[in-house]
Amino acid sequence: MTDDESPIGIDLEAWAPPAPPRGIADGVIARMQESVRAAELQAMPRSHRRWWIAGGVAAAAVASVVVLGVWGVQRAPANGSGTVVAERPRHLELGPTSAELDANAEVRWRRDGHRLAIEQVRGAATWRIDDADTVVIDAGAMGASVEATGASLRVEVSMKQPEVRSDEGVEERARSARMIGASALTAAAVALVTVVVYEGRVKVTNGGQTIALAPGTSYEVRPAYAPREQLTVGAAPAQVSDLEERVRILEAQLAEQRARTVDPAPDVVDKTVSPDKPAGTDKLEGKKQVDPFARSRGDAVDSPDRSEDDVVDPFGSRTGSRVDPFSSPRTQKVTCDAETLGVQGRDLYSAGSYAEALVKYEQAIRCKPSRRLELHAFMAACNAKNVRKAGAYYAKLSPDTQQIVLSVCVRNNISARQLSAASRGATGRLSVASTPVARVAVDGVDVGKSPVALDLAPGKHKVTFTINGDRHTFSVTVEAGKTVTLRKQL
Amino acid sequence: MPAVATVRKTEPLDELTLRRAQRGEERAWRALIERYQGPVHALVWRLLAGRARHRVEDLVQETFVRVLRALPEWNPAGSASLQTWMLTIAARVALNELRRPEMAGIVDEPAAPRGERADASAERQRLGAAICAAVAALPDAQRAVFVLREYHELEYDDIASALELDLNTVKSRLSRARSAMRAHLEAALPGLRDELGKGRT
Repeated sequence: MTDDESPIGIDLEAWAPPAPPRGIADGVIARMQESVRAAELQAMPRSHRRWWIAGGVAAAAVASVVVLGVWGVQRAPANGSGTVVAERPRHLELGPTSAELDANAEVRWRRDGHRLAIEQVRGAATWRIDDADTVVIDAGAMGASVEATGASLRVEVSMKQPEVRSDEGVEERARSARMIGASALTAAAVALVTVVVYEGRVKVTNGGQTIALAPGTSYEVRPAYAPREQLTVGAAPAQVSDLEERVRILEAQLAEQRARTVDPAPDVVDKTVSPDKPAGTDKLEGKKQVDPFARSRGDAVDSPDRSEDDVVDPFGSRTGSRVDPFSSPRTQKVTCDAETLGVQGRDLYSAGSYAEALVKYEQAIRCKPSRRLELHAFMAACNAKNVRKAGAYYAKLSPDTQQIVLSVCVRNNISARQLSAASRGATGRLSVASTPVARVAVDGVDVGKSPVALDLAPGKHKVTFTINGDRHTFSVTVEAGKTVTLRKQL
Repeated sequence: MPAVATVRKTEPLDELTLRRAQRGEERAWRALIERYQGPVHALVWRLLAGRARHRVEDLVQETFVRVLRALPEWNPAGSASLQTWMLTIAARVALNELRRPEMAGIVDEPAAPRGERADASAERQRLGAAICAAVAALPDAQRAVFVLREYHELEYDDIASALELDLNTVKSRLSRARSAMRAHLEAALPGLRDELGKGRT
């Protein structure tokens, strides 16, 4: 027998197979997932038993119902839907896509093939989205959606009740409502949504505008109140300008109204307040000086440019002095002209000289602080990309105003998280991701599975990934007000 | 008439996609399956010639499930190419299926040539049906060697490895399979005798 024996000498291709049927890849991947689920299913009874032991018979009965319900949701067939309310942190698996739900998170989901529609009603969740899945997350029914494929991201939904002051006049409410539609004064709770991207690319759509988020970035979606006039992220300059002008007018009116309501007829206000006396106590002692917002605003952040030598300390936390920012101009004993400085700031702002405008606004604030000037300073700082000062002024805005004007900073790639960090001035953000998933410890402290993000003190930190007993340690430097991303292939 | 089957080689998967598939990325899995499903399906389909064709799709899927499970351990620098390795697994899956007791006696109806036309197309269909019947008539062990060699151009070493045989056994089985094929085809297609005679010279 020789191995070079000639073939049989006919056209063997006359016997040709048909083309492979469609859907082989789908079938194989479904079987692979099925085997993973089966492996998980085998592990389930052990956890059930632990519940029985830990919780006793009565608790176990309740737990079994819960676990069975959860089991039904987690292991639904390829297409299906369900609702999950996490009473404690828990893992949610929706086919190849999964989520780590924080306590109190509520998620509704519907799978149609590889498309997974999520409604994240409240709470926070870290999503790991499979390459084959397209996941659309509607967060808090706020008209914005997050779309991702092959990504890791965290979505946080918090419901915010707009501040409503009981001493606001009806007429003022109506006027405000006319100006911004449904109005913050009458609006129900709104959803504030923060999206943090660890891996992959994520698209956020809000009000018809779509932006792509790269890994390591975060984004805050704060819808406007009026359904037809939502402040959109990345809105056209004309829209933003229009909204900014509205905000300016409204803030001025609010300030005027509040000042009249609290102190209707001040004659003379002594600007000098004893450092020992907490704000708001002067009136009780017979003095005219009142800060109507001392408690409600909780202003405790230093002015970005505060100086001990300043005649007026707008925020007063260091010297203890506090000035009513909304008292009538005729009661202020000042030598500077805040109005002129404000106009100069506005002109510079309009000309695009944002850093110079910020200087003028700050001079005006030192001269005579007001919320309107603080708002202008915030917007100038955002456009000047001055994160530190933007954060400081952002902290002084009311939550409602923050919601409306945040986009000014976001358009300049300054996130709400950065603003918050800058206002605190003490932390930076560390975002850690790895492939495959691993336990993460920072400076020897276990912080959970990757991906994970946390605020840390500025400086060097050690990040340790642990997977299958192997430890991989990396050094990372965190800077205040910034986000640093550590992404490793283990 | 051409002497042998013309085997279309599948373009190998790019290294990055292969690494991703080894890491378990589903998109890469899909790319890998779609790239190699043609030869794998063809092999399983041929090995099950005349025997339970309805099982082909399931066995192809089973092959890829095994491939994906073993993929993280597969060494790209090893002696066998990815396609050869997959065909090895496919051949074992198909032969295991054929060894199942419930498969004994199951015979598919041979596909009859369409129409009575004596044109080239009809002639080719008759030839295809005859080859199918001849392959189906081979013992399983010979059929696997024959199909892997003649249709998928596996080296003798690879066939020996895939079927866990020694090299000489592969050669002898292949020789016997070719002889049986000739005999079967000569009987089925009387006019073929002259053609076969030319092909051997």
